[in-house]
Amino acid sequence: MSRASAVALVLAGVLAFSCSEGEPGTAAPAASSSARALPYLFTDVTAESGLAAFTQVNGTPDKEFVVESFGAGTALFDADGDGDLDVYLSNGGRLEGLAEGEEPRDALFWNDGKARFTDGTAAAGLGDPHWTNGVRTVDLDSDGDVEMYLTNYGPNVLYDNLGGGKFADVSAQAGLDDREWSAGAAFLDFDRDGDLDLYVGEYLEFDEESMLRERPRATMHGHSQQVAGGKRLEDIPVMKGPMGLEPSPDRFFRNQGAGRFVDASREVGVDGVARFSFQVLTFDADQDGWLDVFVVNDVLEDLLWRNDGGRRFAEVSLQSGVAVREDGRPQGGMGGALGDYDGDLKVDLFVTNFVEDYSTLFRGLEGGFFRDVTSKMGLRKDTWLMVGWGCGFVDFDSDGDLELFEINGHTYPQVDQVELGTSYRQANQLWELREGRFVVPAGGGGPDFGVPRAGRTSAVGDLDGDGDPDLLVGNLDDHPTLLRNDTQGGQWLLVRLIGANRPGNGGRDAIGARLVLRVGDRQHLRLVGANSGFLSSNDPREHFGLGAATRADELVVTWADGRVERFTDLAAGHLHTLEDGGGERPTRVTASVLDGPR
Amino acid sequence: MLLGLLLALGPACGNGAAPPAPAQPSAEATQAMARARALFAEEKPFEAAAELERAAELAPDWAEAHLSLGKLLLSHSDVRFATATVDRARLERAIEHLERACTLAPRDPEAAYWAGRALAKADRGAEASTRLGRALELDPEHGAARKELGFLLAAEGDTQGAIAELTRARALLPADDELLLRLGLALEGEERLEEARDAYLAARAANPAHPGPSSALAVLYGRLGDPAAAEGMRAEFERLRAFGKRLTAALAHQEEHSRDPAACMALAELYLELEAEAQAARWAERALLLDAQHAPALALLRRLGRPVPGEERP
Repeated sequence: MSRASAVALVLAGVLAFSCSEGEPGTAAPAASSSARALPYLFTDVTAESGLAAFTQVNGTPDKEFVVESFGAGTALFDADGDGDLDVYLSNGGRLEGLAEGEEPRDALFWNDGKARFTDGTAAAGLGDPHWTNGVRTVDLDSDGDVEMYLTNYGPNVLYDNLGGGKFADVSAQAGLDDREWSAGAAFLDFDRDGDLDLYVGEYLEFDEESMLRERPRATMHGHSQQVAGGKRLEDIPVMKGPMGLEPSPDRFFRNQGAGRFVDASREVGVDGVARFSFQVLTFDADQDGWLDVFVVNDVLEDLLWRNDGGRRFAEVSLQSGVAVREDGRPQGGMGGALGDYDGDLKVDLFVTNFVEDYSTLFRGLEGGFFRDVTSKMGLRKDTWLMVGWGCGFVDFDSDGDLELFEINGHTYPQVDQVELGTSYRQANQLWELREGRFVVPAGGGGPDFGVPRAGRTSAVGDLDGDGDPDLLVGNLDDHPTLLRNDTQGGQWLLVRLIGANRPGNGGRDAIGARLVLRVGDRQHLRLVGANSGFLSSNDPREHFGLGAATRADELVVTWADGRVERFTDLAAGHLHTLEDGGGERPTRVTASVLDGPR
Repeated sequence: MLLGLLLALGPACGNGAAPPAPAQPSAEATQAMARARALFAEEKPFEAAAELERAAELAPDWAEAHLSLGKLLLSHSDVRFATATVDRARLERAIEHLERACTLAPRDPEAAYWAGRALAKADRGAEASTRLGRALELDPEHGAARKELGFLLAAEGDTQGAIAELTRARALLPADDELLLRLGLALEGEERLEEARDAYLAARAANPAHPGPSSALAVLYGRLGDPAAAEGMRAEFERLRAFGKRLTAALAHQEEHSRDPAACMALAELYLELEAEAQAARWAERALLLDAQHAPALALLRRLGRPVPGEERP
């Protein structure tokens, strides 16, 4: 018997959670009986949660400048070390400024464990005033507290978690106050020297002074075209960019130890390629044992940086099949998600894109190749008129199959003035696997899931402690939407890895570890720290749906340094924490019961 | 597409099939149709559409007027709203007129084909499939209809059906780059890798400026264990990427100067850099539609050994 099973057996019996409305710990209105019958049901509990107190501000209502269009990231992480997920909501700004005291600021909300939040911004020493795009959370110094890196329009900010829910800005000391316009970011132990390095996705060169002075608008290439109703498109100005502006090369910061980073972009070879970068994902695309970096880019080809032995990056997106869609055309990429939807233990990739194009599903093949299977999997038509941003492969109903979701919203408010078959506010989308294709489930996730908004970011995690994944959506110029997962699902378990402090192990967060859970004849793959979504940070615990099974047969952990460990007989309904022994001592396994709503 | 449309603004009858029994349009309607053709030839599509609207109003049972108008509206439903998009209202109007043409000329494969094409663009797959099937029923050799049906099946994820249709379409349209590329993609989707490679290579030969075949081959050669060939295709894609930037600029210039044959010829010369002769010839032919004596266009067509309007081939 494994250590995991031994620990699990001494704990109380497995709890089956019904997650129904009206249970203690929730104040949500009761769902109708018809809603309860839906295969997937998300309930908007933003108001009850306390998160409606926060409003994201992103420039002018007309979105005159491209900087106003992508919204601000969110993060789900245990900021105070009390075992539940707190929520960090970043904020935007206004180019022409706001009256003193009215500047939008980021906020940190403490979780009481049941998805009821109180504003802890001041107590935490936070309240960042920068115009933030992305939030990456990571235990950067492997001290057990989670740090936060904000990628901004303006200098980026690193907040060190001092413990006890207190933070301090250490950007300058760390050398991470990058002053480019940054969007995505990912931490990885690129060179396997034992500490986490940083890849930052930069967006474009934005000359704020001239933009404000000239207020350039997008042109229609000067040709005269009309739309129905006699309104001419040329008469409807929209923001300029990213097309017509200069993209920026991404940057790579090498961790020198002792909390210091240096810009090593040239040394590792990422400085010569300029793109409009958004989401940055990390995974071992070619299965050579080194973590690679995938960058979703707006307008231009996506990038796949192959990690050549921790010395250099080589750009291999085209020959891997992920640079462009199947007919060779680049797409307007936004967010990205990694998962294994077909259970073949090869990583698949989903990229959300701009309107009049599809969000692309790339199936992982042998040898590190990918193939655009969007049409074959039924997603082409559904995503064609959407501008997609946040996304993820998540087993919301805990049946063992991964669902796919996309958060949507157009970039131009002006699109509502003309008849183009689309709109500024767009519904979120959910698909489930049925007979080998992704299809919209009955009810599409429930009435609250599909409310049209200017959606942007997504963060997935168990916010109410009931074991199933909830969804926090960041909306432009609006409060976030907390969608509590009230799906009547199957059994589940959560896995949290605690990495040993050793070279190549991905730090304490075990970034780059690969989990394969076997339940009967099915295997489920998860990638630790892969960074799915759009400019946000998900629950660091990995959720597995078990269907009707009350135990998983085996969990195979491949740590980022290549060591493989197996754990058997893991009980459902528990959080299994695996503290890496580093090979020198046994990995410690504890199974704990969550105390969220039942 | 515009050139094809201009040529297709002629009588609405399909290859080999009996033309529909036309309602007799009034002289006024016929004159409106003639004006529409002249305006279109002058690169004034919206004025041409207005004349076609008039013709269709004056002769509401005249299939040709509805078909011509539907085709024109369909081709001009591609608009730009900072990026490429589709004017859905105009597309719906195109469908209305094309459906009307199908009703008025139920044995005209062209009407069925164009209606199918418009419906496919509007994501009305089942209706599109019915119309395209009807076009093929009326004219089994209608290559464009078979190609469109293949594209539709591929977009809906039916790769085996797509392979069947595109293979038959290939026999009718052997040098259609997009068809060959889609066939290759469908074949690769069924893991028929060598056949896919051959289709991609044929697509590349048909249009050396199309980035799709080289991006597909860059992956496929790798999968077939030929990294050197894969690297060659990657390099070619990079060249095409640079070419694409110049092409975009030249197209934008041509749109702004749509009645200038020199703008067409700039595109023709650009395509020639990549030895994309068929594409170059099309732009030269378009220049000649604007100016039948445009010397550079005539010279280019002669140099390429292509038919020159008004000249007999040796």
